Amino acid sequence: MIKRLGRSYKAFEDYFCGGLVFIGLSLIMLNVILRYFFNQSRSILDEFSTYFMIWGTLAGTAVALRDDHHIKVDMLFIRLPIKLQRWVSVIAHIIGIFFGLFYTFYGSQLVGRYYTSGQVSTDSSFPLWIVYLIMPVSGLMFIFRILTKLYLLFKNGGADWHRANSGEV
Amino acid sequence: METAILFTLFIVLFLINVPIAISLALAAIIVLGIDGQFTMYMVAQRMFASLLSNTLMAIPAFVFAGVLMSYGGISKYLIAALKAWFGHLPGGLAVVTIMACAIFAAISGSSPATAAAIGSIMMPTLIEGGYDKKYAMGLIAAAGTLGILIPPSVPMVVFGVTAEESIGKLFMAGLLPGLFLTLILIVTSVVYAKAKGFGRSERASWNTRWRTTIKALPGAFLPVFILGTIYLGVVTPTEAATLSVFYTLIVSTLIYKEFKLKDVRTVFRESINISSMIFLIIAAAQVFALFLTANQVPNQISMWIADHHLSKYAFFFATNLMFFVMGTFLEAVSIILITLPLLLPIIHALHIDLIHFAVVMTVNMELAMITPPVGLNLFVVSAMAKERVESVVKGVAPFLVIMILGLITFIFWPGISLYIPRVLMQ
Amino acid sequence: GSSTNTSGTDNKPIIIKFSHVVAESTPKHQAALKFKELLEKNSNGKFQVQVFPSSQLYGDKEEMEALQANNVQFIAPLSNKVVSFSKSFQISDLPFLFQDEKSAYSFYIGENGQKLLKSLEPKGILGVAWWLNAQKVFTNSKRPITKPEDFKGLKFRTQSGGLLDDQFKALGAGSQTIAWGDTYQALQNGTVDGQENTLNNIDTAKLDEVQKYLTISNHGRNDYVVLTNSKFWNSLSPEDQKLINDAMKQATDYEIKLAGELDRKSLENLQNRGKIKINTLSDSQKEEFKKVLQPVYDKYVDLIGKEYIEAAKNSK
Ligand code: NA
Ligand code: NA
Repeated sequence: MIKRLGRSYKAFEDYFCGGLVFIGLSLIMLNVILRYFFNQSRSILDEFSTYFMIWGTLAGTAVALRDDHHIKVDMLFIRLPIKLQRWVSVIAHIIGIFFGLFYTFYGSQLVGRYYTSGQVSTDSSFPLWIVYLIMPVSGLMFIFRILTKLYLLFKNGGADWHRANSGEV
Repeated sequence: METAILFTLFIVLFLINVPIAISLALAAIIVLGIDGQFTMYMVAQRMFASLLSNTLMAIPAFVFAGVLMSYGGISKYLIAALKAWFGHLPGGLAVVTIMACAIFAAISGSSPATAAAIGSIMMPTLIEGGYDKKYAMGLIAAAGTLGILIPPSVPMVVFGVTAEESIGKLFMAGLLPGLFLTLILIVTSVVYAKAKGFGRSERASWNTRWRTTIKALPGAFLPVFILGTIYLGVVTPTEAATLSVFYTLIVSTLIYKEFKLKDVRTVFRESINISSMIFLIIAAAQVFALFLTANQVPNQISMWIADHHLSKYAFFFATNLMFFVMGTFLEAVSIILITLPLLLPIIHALHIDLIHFAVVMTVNMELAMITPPVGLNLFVVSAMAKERVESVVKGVAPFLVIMILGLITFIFWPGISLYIPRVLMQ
Repeated sequence: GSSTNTSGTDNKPIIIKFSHVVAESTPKHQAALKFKELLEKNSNGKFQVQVFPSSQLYGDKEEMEALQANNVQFIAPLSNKVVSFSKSFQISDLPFLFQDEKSAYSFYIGENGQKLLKSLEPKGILGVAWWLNAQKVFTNSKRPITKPEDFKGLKFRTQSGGLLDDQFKALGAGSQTIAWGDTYQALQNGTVDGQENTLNNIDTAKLDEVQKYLTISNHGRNDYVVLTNSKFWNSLSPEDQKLINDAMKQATDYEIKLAGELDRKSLENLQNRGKIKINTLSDSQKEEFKKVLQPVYDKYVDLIGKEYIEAAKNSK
């Protein structure tokens, strides 16, 4: 049951982030078509294509975390004994959580400020608090992923993690 | 003092295996927080605003197109055609690898993507052809770096956005140096392969040659299409990247019929992984840079340089040394975003052509991809060949030397970078 | 250190960060330096002003937020950028509203211009001064523009959407937002046929190399508004506020003088190079344009505010 939920959530992450970016790309495409075939283009399309692509990539930071795609320096790390590696990894993940919390907290504060100030975008007068809503949302998605990775470091006393990390490459 | 704390924190964080993006952001957040006068939600604002640019959207778009190409058969048919023409020559498979990388580089803006797309097919082919595995790995890692010098180029987009320079101009500037480097790599690899007696594939019949060429044409047309549209200025770089996404989609679903509905998720996931990694670094590096500018570090450096009457070539030497050192452990986008704002005033004061500098910097970033401990192409090839990073490093070492010679050429010969932008822009 | 000490006791200077997005050679930066010079001198070093040009510190899209957060104390954006807080600031984009530069100046220093500056107070922002920059003119590569019909079928580059899109739509032309850095190339290759801008931008970017016709229309303005934040402002004693106001006043006069000179000099440069045909719209021609552009007025009258529009129209 939990496994299935996990699989569905993983699929959700992929389609949600990839889908948002793809919508953004489609809006750019639409604008080019409008310009060349109908001699008109909409700055609102430029604006929203950017929003969609930023939404997708910011939410996608959780996907990149899940798939270990954020670049790390492991010149020191790989020289440590495997037991120490695990604990350093635990610390690195906790530091990551701090970043996630900071990002989510101040992201929400930003949304709150935009909401109360009623500030809108320059081109299409779209409420900015909605645009920035992705910050707390992506922050929570990010924190969730670090927590699942941290859980893996502790699961079965770290046995699973050791097994996954003892082989080279 | 605060600047020293900032860099120390950053180094400590990435040394304990915290991702580089998060190390950049957290180091800046901590130092800004200690200061106490800075309103912290502006860090979140800066992270979002640093991405809020139509031009930067070229990055996910080019990444998306590149991933689609690997799944849609375009790279496969491209290599088949090149192999039919050149595979039987001495060192022919190495030549095919380098040319395929150069052509793929003209579509993709990323070096690791180039190494992955071409390497996944050429690695087994090279080994079958009797090439030494270490050599094959080094070749793919090195030729893959062309991805960011031959336009389009993710680091050049970041450079252009930071320096407010025309992306189209930067792209054009990379073309000749990219082809020059391709040529040097081809020549040296043929000489080397001949000396070592590495094998070659069967000579293909004329029939096969034409058949594979026709099959490869729709994909091979893509670089012409992308560069053409950008150079003609009919579309912005971001729009050109988007057009190439839809073009690739059409070619691979309707013509090659290689891209299936079930591949959608994989393409989504892979493009998101790369784009989000880059975007998080951009957002984080901008927070880092915010601290530096707010503390007037760029001005202090400029003043120091002015006081010491640095010459143009001393500046090139110093910056290239710095890029090389930073390039060993950082990747291109963070190096550009950290250093460029500091260097711009000096570049300006020394009357160095920004476009020339951009090309030199990009070649440096190519080196960063193949120098340990952090070299993205090293990682890609190591994972692909299931070999330790160290043995890839050994394989890439001779190519590194060649590329450094190329770098020196580009420093002392600005003309090769500036010729095309001058001809096309005036 | 980056600390912004607003109390100014213990001989520690009060640091003012003045951030803007244009180059060091511009009147805006020169005026910001003048402000720095005067304030530091008149306050005997109590204030220390750091000027950050060229988006070094904050760019277009975040300087307003940075100001609200008191991470900077002064910014000087184009007035139409403030539109995200108050629609009224689009007034300088409303086509053919001000008669000439003088009427714009009178409007800004007059009752309504000052009221507009104060209107941002609920958002924690205080307008300190209007810095005049220049009139906008049209260029294109197809034909001289003398009447509204000349716009039919042309494509124009704009710096932002919204009102400017509507302006071109009412004239029967297409519009597209293109980054300033890409504009030369877009014009050269015919992505767009024309653009609207200040004479100085046209001159320095050498757009006369890729455009054939320049129409001095004075149809809108690119002016700046100098803003500070109320948190910073309220932390100052009335004497300090006066020091700032005095320095700002002189800096403003200096800026207007420089901007005016630059506008004239650029027109001269364009004439001397002789690459672009220049025509000036007469008052009667402008009346024709106003008629065609009425839908834009109708659409924006409530958004911008009728009183402001009327005052601007009647400003002499
Ligand atoms: Na490329
Ligand atoms: Na490296």
